[in-house]
Formats: sequence, C-alpha cells, structure tokens
Amino acid sequence: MDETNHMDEGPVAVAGLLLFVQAAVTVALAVEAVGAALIFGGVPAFGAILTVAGATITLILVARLPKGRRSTRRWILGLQIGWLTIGLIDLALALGLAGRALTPTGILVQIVLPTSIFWLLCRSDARSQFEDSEPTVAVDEDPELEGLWA
Amino acid sequence: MNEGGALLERYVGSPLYGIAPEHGLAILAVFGLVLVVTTIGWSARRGNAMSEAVLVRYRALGSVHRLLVWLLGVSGVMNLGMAFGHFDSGVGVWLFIVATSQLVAVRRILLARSWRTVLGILLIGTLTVNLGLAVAGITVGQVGMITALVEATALAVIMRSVEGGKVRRTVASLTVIGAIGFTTLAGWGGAVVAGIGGEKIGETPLPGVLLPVGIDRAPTSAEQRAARLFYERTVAAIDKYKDVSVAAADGYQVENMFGSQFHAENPQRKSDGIILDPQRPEMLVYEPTANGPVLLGALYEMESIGDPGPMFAGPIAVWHAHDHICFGSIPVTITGFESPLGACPLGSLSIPVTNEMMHVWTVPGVDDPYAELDEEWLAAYLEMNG
Repeated sequence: MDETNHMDEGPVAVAGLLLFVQAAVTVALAVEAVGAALIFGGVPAFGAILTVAGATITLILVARLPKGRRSTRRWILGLQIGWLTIGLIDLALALGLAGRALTPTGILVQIVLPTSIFWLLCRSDARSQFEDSEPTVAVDEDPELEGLWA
Repeated sequence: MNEGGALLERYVGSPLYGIAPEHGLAILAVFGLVLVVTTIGWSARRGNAMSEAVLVRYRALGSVHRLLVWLLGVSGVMNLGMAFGHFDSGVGVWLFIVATSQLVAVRRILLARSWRTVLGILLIGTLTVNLGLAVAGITVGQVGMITALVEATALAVIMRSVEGGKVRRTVASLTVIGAIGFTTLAGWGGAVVAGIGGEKIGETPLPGVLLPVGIDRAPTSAEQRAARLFYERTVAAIDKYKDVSVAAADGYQVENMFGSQFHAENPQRKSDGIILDPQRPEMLVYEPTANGPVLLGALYEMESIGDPGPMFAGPIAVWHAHDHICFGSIPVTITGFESPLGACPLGSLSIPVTNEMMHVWTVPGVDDPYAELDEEWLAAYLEMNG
C-alpha cells in the first residue's frame, strides 16, 4: 500500500521540498547568528537580523509556493541567486586564499541546493504552473469586444 | 604567499570541517551507488528482466517519490560506508542498522508498500542519535553532516506529506526544522568536545582554529629563555598602551570596543615589513569593562597568508591561524564561524584561512603568557582589580 498517493508531484513540488529544507537551514543559521552576535558583543547584530529576516522570508515563500503566483516564483528565484552569489564568492575565496574548494556541506547548501531549486522552477513544465497575481479581465480576451475599451 | 593545497597540509584543524579517514568509504559508496544505478539502466536496455522490473517501478514513481528513493539510497550507502569505517565500535553497528533500514525502505517504496511511519521514526531517531554522539565527543564531520542533511531532506518529504489540520502540519514542519537544528548542534558539540584544550603543536583545536602539524615536545632551556625574554620585552614595550589614548595616537583602532578580548588592529604595523617586534605589535588586546578598557596583551601577526611564524621559542610560543571565519559587510566585522551546515550568516562571507598569529598576554598573574587566556581566570582577575 503506497501511503503517499496524496503527495503532490512534479518539479514545483520537489522545488517546494528543497525550499523548505533551505528554510530550515536558514533557521538554524539564524539561531547561530544570534548566538554569535551575543558572544561578540552585539556588533554582528546586522548579520543576525539579516539571517532572521531571510529565514522568515523563506518560510513565507514555502507557504505561498503552492498558490502558484508568479511573484512568489520571482522572489524564490531571486533568493537562489543571492545564495549562489555568496556561494560562488566563498568558492573563489577558498580557491584563491587556501587553494581548495568549499567544504562538502558548503557545496551542498550554497551551490547544489539553490541551483537545484532554480533549475526546477525554470523548467517549462514548472513555469506553466504559475500565474500572474493580478486577476484576468475576461472581457479583454473577448475578440468581439476587443478595442471597445481603448 | 599562497602555496595552495600544500598550505593547509601544514595545519591541524577542527574535524568539523574535514573528512575523517574512516569516512572515506562513505564517499566511495556514493560513487558505487551511481555505478550500480548506471549498470541497472544498461542491463535493462539489454533485456535483463530484473533490471527492467526495477526500472519500470522507478519510472512509475512521481518526481517526489523518485527524490525520496535517491535520498534514502545515498544516505543508506553513506551510512553503510561509515559503518565499515567504525566497524570496531557500537557506532558501526548502529550505522549498519540504519543503512540497512534505509535501503529496505527504498525497496518498499519501489514496491509501493507502506513505509512512511517506520521510516519517519527511523530518520528522527538517526538525527537525534547524532546529538548523542556529539556528547560522547565523536565529531560528526563533513561526511556525517552531509548524510544528516540528506536524511533531513528525506524527513522533509515524509513530514510535508502529513495530512490533517494546520496544527498537525505545523508540528510536522517543526519536526524537520528541529531535526536540522539538532544536527547543527551535534556538529558544534562534537567539535567543541574534541577540540577543548587543543592549543599545542599537533593537537586538535576548536572549530575555526588551525594549529601547526607536528608532535609536541618539551622545550629546550634556550627556548625557555627566549620565551621569557620576549615576554618581558613585550610587557615593558606595551605598558604605555594601558592608556588607550596613547594606543590611538600610535595608530591602534581602539574606538567602539565591544565583546570580550577586543583586538585593536594597527593597519600600518600589519604591513610594515617588521614582525615580532615588541615595540610594534600588530594588534593589542583589551577587555572592555565598566571602568574602561583593560590591556590584556599583544598579538603578533605574519603579513601574508601561508607565511609560517618563526618558532623562536619552540613549543612554548605556538603560532596559530584561523579558518572558516565569517565576515560581515555592515559593519566589516567577524560574524561568527562557518556553520556545520556549510554557510555563514546571510550577508557574510567565509574566509577560508587567515595569517598566522601569536598572543602574548601581559596581564599580571597569567599562568602561561603564550597559551589561550582562561575565561574564568580573566573574570576573577577583572573582579579583583576593578
């Protein structure tokens, strides 16, 4: 008996799962950042605030993804670009300063995970599942009425 | 001077950021899995009935189920590889049980049999056990962390499919977040337990610290004399900097002190071509207190990453470097150490290695001026001396 026939399938569902894991990772990073800010006397508070905000935003996007709004998709893609940018800079620093790559977990979290989410949401079968948040005006698409509202 | 890969071979770092030798089999196991899967596909195309059956069942799965199969397959073979690496301990037995269970679950998914409840319990248990291993001083390491992340993702697949009301779904989501949190805690815990007290040549340090490779030994009388003389010269030379205005006048950045053991840099002296000059230390270390900053000592620093510090006092004055330091941009300051999850706080970059440096503590009564300053001793000193 397959207990998960009710699970959503498809690239958007997979992206949603990976995004949720990314959100969980960001929550853990936020807790660590707050701890570090307390230890280092509050100066790194901006990093902690940014990480907490990032975790919150990611969780909100996870909740909104099933609604299929294009704006949500754009936000998610933007978030992945942010992750990849930092990841690639970190990779460049590691290669340039220490002659080695990122740690395996760094590669997974900063490169593989955002790349996977980005690729899944850019697939054509995923893009078609998103619609504009603005409601469609039906009369605008009626050829008999076209131009009358201009 | 950056010698690339050879640079890091000169140091011992925290096992949190490395791959333990006994975990090498786990990495090979993943390649083995890819080879097995490729072989199944190849033999199915050549008419092998068993391979064809496996392929048909796999292709009948939706994309989320396929993801779950891969996640369990990868974590299963990695646990199997680690089990062989720990074959002589109870940890190996546990890992073997976990690996077997995960691979059996793969089979059950392919056969469309029930698996969710048992697998969910197994994954939660596995991720929780990591915390127990950390308490026992067993560092999870990079392979362990990767496996845990893969397992957490598999757990996410299970928990996100939970039906029911908002409360039930929220609890399910929090379970995954908690599992990743536990995993992170396990990473830190094991690394800290393994690295506490590590500050001599060849010892295992705390996360974020690099120590030179080698074997610690007793110092010679010449080294002891050199260490004592250098300490005395440092004490005499930086005594004037107890007054922070004098330090500021000489170029030390003493504004906006915060936290504990604040390092006041002198940008000019960091690149003046002179090292180990007690008259010109690269940094001063202060403790901000309610009655004003207290000078703790000096920090000497090499000018370039990879340049080894002179071992003028042998094993007494050990230079160290730092790795996996997170630096934020607003303001430009340390924001922590790289997480076991492989990332820094958002907006921060991970600096893979720093220049070598050496502390000399000049605060009166310190037991070893070249070792790490004991926090409890410092607190007691500050309380006694106002």
